[in-house]
Amino acid sequence: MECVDLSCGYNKTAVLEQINFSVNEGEILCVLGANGEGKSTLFKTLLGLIPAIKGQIRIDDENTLNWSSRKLAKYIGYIPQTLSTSFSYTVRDMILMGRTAYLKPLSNPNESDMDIVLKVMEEMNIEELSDKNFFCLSGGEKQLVIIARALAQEPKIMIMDEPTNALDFSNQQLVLDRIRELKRRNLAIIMASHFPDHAFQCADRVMMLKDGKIFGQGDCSAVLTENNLKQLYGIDTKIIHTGMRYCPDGKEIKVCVAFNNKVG
Amino acid sequence: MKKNAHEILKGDRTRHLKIFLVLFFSLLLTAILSLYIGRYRDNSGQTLKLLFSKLLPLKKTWEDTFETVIFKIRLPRIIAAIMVGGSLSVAGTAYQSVFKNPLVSPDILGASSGAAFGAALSIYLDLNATLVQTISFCFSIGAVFFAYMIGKKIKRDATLSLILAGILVGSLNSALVSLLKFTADPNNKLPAITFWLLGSLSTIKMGDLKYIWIPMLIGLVPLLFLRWKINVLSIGDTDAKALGINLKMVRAEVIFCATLLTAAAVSVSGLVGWVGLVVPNLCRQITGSDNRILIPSSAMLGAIFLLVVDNVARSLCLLEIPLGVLTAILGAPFFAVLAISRGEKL
Amino acid sequence: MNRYYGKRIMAVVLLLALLSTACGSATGKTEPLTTSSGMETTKSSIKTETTTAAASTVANPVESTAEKLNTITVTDAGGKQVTLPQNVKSIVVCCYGGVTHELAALGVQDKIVAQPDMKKFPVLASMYPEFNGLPFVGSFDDVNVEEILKLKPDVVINSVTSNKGNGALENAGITVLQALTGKGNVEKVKTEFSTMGKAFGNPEQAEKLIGYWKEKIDILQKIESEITKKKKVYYMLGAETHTNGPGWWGDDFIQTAGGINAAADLKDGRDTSIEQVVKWNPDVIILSENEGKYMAVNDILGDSQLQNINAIKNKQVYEVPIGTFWWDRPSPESVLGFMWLAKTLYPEETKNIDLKKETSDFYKTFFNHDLSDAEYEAFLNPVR
Repeated sequence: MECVDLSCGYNKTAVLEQINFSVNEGEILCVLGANGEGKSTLFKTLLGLIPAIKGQIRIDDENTLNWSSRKLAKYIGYIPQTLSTSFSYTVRDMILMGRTAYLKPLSNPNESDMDIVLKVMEEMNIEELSDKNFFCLSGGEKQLVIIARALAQEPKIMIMDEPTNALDFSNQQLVLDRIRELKRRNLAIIMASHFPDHAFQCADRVMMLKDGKIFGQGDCSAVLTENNLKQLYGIDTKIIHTGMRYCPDGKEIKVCVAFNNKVG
Repeated sequence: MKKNAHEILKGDRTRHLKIFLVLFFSLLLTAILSLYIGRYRDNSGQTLKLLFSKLLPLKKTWEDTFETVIFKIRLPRIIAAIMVGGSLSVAGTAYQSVFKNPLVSPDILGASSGAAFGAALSIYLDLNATLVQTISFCFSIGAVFFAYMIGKKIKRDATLSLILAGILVGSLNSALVSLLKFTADPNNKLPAITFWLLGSLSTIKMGDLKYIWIPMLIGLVPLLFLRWKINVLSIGDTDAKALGINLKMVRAEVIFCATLLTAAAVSVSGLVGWVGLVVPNLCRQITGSDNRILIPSSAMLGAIFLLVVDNVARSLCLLEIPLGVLTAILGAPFFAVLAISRGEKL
Repeated sequence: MNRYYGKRIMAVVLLLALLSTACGSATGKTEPLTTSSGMETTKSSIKTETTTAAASTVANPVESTAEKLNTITVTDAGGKQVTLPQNVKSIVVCCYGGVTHELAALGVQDKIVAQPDMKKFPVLASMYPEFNGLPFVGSFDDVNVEEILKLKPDVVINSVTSNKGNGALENAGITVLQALTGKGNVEKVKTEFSTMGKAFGNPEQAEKLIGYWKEKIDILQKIESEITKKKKVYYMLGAETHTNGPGWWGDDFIQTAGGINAAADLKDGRDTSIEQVVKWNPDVIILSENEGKYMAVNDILGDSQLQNINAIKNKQVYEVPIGTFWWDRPSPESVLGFMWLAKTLYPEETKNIDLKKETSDFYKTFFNHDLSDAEYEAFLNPVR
């Protein structure tokens, strides 16, 4: 996916301007920025939920301007920030909804659709939740189901808007682990987060948004510096190398600590 | 025990079929039993024979009058109750999914109040019964059309705009009905208008049902085809669009079909509330929210519900209780019990 | 933006205020849109009217003690004692259930100064052209108290059922005489003739009317006593399932004519179901459109749901004639209705009654009108 000189916003008022970036297969791009900087707006524009004010969004080198919702859904899987549903379906049916874009106009999901759903559930390790009611799941489990639903769309790109937002400590980790595993599927993943820690964990590249423009973009290690973080969030930070590594990719575990009064 | 896709789908389909058949045969049974209810006493045992006589050559052992009572008085009423109950329930189910809210009834876009105004106006102008039915149908559709057009112009969340527009149109129509009631001749027209507004199937003849099944069918069939899309629509606009649903189109289609059903039903029976609100929620407790089974089941359950209520309406006391009154008296507490006992799943 | 909206709102409010004053100043001929509390007229006119009313009620006690000898007291249909001046000069009628007809039959119709539009009764309107142009000041509970006060009538005649309207009138110091509307029977109607006659200075005419009724009903009862098999009559009033149970006028109508009310077990009610009608299986069906819709004889004969009833099978379905009033509802000429129904039910036994002559005599005696043949035919076959 590639964005060329994109401007996005509501009612012709731009919230973000001159957005240029690209994401390739097997890459995770983490979008960082303070509250209200426009991360959700950017995502909604990428998904075609709101029209772009200026610029182009290209997938596989094709302008997505006139793509129908159906076509977009076959390429992009979306994990939204909030989940509010009035009606509850079984986990299996929720994931099955990911196949909607592939259904013939007036038909219901069939066997091959169900096959894909089962495969995805196996991958995400949520098979035992299959018959449960979605309402009754924990926050983390719900998030996994939503990721599974997005995977069922067989997309090339996944867009995740703060996927760990409402989760507790352990569930956060659970979801982040899964996200890292998704790289193996050769998906291009764009992830928004409030926490630079998550970028350290998952991302290959980082894009920082500030004052309606891109503040910094590039490799994780290059862009995520204490200086940049201080400018982005307006708070002193220290990056600590823990000396431990993730398996299986062997990436070093780094954490980010924020502080207002340096102790020493 | 790991199941494969084929087994799962088959399991689902079997479950759905079971529920549907149970409801279908319950409906059939209720309908046949309803033939026995009525003030004209039946020579016991003849009712069934009479029914079959239409298909098989049986010797006639009943009075002419009895045959008239069964086929010309009770049967049309039973068929009407089934059609109206089924239509209102399906419409309610569809509307609830579009508006993502289980507390939505088919009146939300003003279909009922539009029909009420059309009927009141026709009665006021002394038009015959067929015209009253036709005009109330047209005004009902018109009211929703206006609500839809106004809703599109309001620059807010699409769902909220529609609801606002529906309230607007509904209030206007209700006010106009009140105005007509106020200026109507209290001897002739006012009682007739009030009677229509309370809802009743007491004057149903076979002729009233001759054409009304057409819009009901036109409304029902597309909804059956759209069941899966309605599922996706019900989880949220953003999610639905991201999953590939053409929001505007599907929403318009569903609203159009549900409105046809509501308009057709209300033009036959007058204002009968609560069916479109209570039955889908009750059905959800039995079948779950999956519209693939929910919509057909709602139709069956709604038909049974209204049939039972109508039986009560015409047999409880000497004077017939208006149908709309009874559905409210029975429906509201029923809904309260439902909401209290299964609150979190509602 | 706010100021713009503010201006718009002000403009709308001003427009509404202008419209309301325009309505308030319209003459009493138009249908009053106000309730008895008189909402739309301007505040100042309300003030002056109430002060005038207050002044007159203050003044009255002094006058009435002097006038006490010049008043009469009657008991109205609601059982109240009503005191009227001995020589009533002006009457306002606020109901149209036959009161005007009563006043006309008693010869006192020239005292009417306001009443509902009599175009509803074309025969009456043509016989009494002076009714054209009388103002309409409201009816039943929807009375325009201020308009009535302007006319300063001696009495207002309103329905016994209009508690709100009557209350408002009495509150303004107006004398109200309640008349029977709705539930009534032969005895009550005769009493009302007597009351009206006494109240308005023509008791002799009232006695004549009552005597006429008695005479004709006696004849019918004599004929009826010799009939062995009485016919069952279903009174279809404006809808197939709307009729009159016992206690309602329709029941008296049928019984006085010698028939049996098919809805006799309906107790106090008026509505039933189609199935019940089939069960009753009446011999004769009479149609009236006094309440509800007009139903033609052919519509009823062709109704598939009723086809097995005796009345349909023997084609004994009749529309009740309409003179100055419906012959099936209480009014001075109801007695003609009794005779018509008796003749319809038992043509053989009643062949000595010449309905045309009776009608003609009645109209001459009580309405001072020479009935032409064409008019009589029109009663039996009203033009629709």
